[in-house]
Amino acid sequence: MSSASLNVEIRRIRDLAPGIREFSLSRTDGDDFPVYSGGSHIVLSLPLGERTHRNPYSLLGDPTDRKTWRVAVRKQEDSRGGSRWLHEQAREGMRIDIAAPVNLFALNRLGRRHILVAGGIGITPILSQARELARLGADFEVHYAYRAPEYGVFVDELEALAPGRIHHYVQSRREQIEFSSLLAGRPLGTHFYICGPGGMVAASMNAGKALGWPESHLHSEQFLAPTGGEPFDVKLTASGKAFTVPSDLSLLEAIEQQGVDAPYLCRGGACGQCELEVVDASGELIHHDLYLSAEERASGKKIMPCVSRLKGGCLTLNL
Amino acid sequence: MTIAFKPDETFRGTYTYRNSPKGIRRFPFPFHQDQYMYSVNMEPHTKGPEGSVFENAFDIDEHYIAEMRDRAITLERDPGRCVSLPHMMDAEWDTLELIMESLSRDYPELFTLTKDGDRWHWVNKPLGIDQTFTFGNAATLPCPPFEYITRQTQGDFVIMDQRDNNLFADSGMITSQADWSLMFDAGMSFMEWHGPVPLAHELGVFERALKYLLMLQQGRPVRRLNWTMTINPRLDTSPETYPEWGPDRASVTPDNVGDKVHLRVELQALFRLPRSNGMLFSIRGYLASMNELATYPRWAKRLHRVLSTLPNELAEYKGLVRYKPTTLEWLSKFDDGEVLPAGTQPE
Amino acid sequence: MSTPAIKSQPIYAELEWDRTGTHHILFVSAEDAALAQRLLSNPPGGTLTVVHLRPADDSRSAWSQNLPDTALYLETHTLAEALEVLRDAFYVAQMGTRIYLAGAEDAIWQASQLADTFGVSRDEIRHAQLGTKARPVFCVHCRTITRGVHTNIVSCSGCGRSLFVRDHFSRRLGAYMGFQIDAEVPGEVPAAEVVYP
Ligand code: FES
Repeated sequence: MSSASLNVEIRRIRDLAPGIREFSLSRTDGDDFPVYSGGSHIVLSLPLGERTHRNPYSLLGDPTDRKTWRVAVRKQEDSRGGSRWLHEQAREGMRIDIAAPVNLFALNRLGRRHILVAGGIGITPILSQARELARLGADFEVHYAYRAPEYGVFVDELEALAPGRIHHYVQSRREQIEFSSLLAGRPLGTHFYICGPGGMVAASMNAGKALGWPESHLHSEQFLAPTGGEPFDVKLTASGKAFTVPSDLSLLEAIEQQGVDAPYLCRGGACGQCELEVVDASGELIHHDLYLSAEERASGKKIMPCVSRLKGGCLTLNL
Repeated sequence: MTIAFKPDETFRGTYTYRNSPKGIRRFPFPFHQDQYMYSVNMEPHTKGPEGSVFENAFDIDEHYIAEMRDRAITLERDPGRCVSLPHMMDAEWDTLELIMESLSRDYPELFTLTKDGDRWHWVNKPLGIDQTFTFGNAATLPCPPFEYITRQTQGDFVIMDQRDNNLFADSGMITSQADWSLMFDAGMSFMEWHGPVPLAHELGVFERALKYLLMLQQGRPVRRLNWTMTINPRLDTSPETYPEWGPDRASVTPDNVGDKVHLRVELQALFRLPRSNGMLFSIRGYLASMNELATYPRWAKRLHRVLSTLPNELAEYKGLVRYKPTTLEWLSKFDDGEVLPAGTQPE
Repeated sequence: MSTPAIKSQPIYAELEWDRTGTHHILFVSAEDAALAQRLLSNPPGGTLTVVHLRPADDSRSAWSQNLPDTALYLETHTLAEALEVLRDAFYVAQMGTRIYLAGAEDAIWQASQLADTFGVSRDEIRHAQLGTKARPVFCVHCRTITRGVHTNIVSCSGCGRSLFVRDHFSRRLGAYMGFQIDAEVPGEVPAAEVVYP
């Protein structure tokens, strides 16, 4: 599943505020980046010890800039290590792999007005959305909340983009977004987009629902679920192989790496071609496919190896 | 690889369209087995074997020039075959970019694209087009970007907008369709648009396909084959012109089956579009007459079995009912009952 | 309510208030005393605007009786007038509004097209077929919409072809698809039957 990955060099690291760093990336093969749509994110593969760590980050720059992609990362002390690595180990000139952009936080192009809200580092996808809306000449406004003036990173970029349409809420000045008034009295066809801390997102969604906003007009940032997972052991009865599926390969890919011919078509859990018979599973089958019925899943006898895996233990397959 | 174009062949009136032996050999025969049923038969649209229809993202073949002329005739008669709703402009440019980049990369001797920032220079040698324009500025092209590029690319095209966890057919260039009307279907959701297809909904095919497609990623297009049958090598089998081609279905006789009845295969590919987050759906059609197909008896046998076991709902939906018996009778001459292993390849 | 053979054909659920909404706009163009009674006796919270299309001579209508005090009732007598009034209502409407369109398919889908131009999504709007089952039919050959079609085969008001009325429905056009029934064998036109009374 790595066909669309790109190798990039960290060209520039900027400290934007305490605990917030921006990384500018460019392709190592010298080619242009593709463009992307506002709200897109990429997944960075970070070399944490012997393990690769995959972290999603929103692209924040100009979606039409083909030379440089930018992400901003806040250091999270309790993180599993990705943001720590980026803050402590990453250096300019280092090379990493990234996956092509995915957008699960896209603008609705039929919207007649767009309200964008960012809390802290949540400004990153909002920035690319704002650029897109500005380019399209759409009706939009940005509400940006941050801890203290020095945390208002990208304020200048935003102001340049949409003068007069940026509203600031600085926590140290006791300013706060009142979602029930922000969302009240908006004309039909208005869309709301938010990226920020969990509590803030939940508060905005609740306010929207209380005002009767339908789900289709309330958008919050989503990342693609990571494709890999925990490593697990596999035995193939017919071909007599035994091996471990590493965290960054699918079961199907791991089987293929063993030189075993396994059927497949879509490689995305939809077609049903790759179905394999489970002989034994010590551990929990994690089904990610769109194909098996609830009964088939419950039987524990089938798995779609292109997307599904085992949590803990060993999986024995008839192959 | 050079392509020997057949610029003068026609898809109406005189119907001089024919496949060269090379064209027949690369025909994307769709039947792996002796029976056919809908499934989510999608797979990654990766580079296929050299010379095959899967070799490139957008396949250009010997019929290119003639097909583009036929499209121009259809559009001249009915500009409504190209529809694009106003919110699709970014997706139009996405499509133009994807196609120009693919064609100039895959067929450098036929198409060239040079960029100087937003100033783009496009040369299409087979059609004699040399155009300089500003990317993103529709006024610098003779017509809107989607229409511009799809007038120069074989196959029909739909662009779907993704919103509300659904895909909407909001743009299209449809001049060689299997009897569906873009003017009528434009703006429909994925399920509505596929509404008339029998049996597949009940099998959950569209539901799974939609979920799969919603997650389609940039740089990882997917493809599938679909098929129907057409009388005469006609591209414009639209509902709009049904009164023109409908009578042909009643014109099939045992003597003319081989020439008149065509298997029509669609190579459908889906591409995530970068700046709009939309999805380009290309529907590249291939036509082969029964005579042409029967140059490979394996195909004739297979088709005979598929048609004889085809559920009635499907035969009706595909419009085969009137001429299916005559066609089966003709194909039966080739079918000696030999057991055919799975696979679509010719002998 | 049976499942339609063609998935684009609208399915009309029993009309209910969507109580997650905070403003409600109801357009009705046909009588249904039981429905009016059920809906109006238990109105939703928030504002309610009723746009009523009724013949000028109709003295009593269940839709104008028993209106909650808070409801704004707007009476109109032609579809064009009703659509104008609806346009004004949509123009001033706020997010949180739910739209209910009840009546003949021709009227409710024209109102629905209007709502689309305001960026209204599908989860903000409900449709209910009341009264006549007559269909608007879009001729794929000449692109004329023939309205008030009761039969399975109809002569196109634009080009005169005998159209078969298919269950395939376009929300954008607000019409069912019609195509020439005798295209394969000209003149072979079965007798039309009343199927949309
Ligand atoms: S390959 Fe299609 S479901 Fe696994």
